[in-house]
Amino acid sequence: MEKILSDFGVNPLLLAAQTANFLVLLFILKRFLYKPLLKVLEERKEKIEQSLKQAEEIQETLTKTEEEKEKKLAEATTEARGLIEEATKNANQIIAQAHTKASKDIEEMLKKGQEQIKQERLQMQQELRGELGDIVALAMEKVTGKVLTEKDQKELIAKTVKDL
Amino acid sequence: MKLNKQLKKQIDLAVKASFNNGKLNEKKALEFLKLFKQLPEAIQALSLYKKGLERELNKTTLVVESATPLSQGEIKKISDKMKSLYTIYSIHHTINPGLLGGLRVKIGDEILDDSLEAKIKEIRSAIII
Repeated sequence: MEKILSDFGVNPLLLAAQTANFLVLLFILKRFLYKPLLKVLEERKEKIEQSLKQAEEIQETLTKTEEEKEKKLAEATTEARGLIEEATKNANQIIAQAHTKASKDIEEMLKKGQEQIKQERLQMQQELRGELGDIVALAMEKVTGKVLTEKDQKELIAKTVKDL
Repeated sequence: MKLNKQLKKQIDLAVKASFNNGKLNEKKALEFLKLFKQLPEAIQALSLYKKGLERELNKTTLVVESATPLSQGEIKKISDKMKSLYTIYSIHHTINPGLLGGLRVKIGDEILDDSLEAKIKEIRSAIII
């Protein structure tokens, strides 16, 4: 074994020393470099994972909000359509009522006007008749006094006495 | 001064008592006049009594109105006809040219108007209505 090692130029003592050095170096590296580095990497990994998770959650919330928004928008549209339909219906109804009332008012006004004209015509006729009656009576009174003779007067009295 | 109901009733009774079968009993009427004269409300009482007497007298008084004068014969004819229908104690004849012709006879509240004026009024009313 010593011959083999000597053939290959290996000094066992040096090899042992180098191995010991290597182990010490390995220990130091592991203790002061790899461990903190791994810890930082682990933390970073966790942070990234957390961020990704949060991003997913945000995305999910965003999607939900978007869906809700769409839903509410659809509801609002439906409601608005309903309101517009109702308003149109009401407006049509009001217009129809206004038309009916206007027609009725016009009809009533016409009726009143006709009635007034009728009354005025009747009044005029009455007044005319009154005046005509007065004229006829006056004319008859004037004529009678001149036309009737004493004989006529006596005959009238005789007739009245007979009729009593 | 206003007359009370009681006195008005008594005056009405006095008016009725002043007539015998529709004819005025002057003696009784004078007695009532004297009696009402003594009342504190004499003027009102006498006025009411007078109105009552006139009303009652009108019931038996024939008033004949004509446009021209009537002869005695005509008045008699009218009075005879009316006496067959009403109790008549006196007759008044008045001339009213406004009647134009014919006669108007009144007794109490009854009026028989056969004058030309009434006929013209009837024609006027017929035209107006």
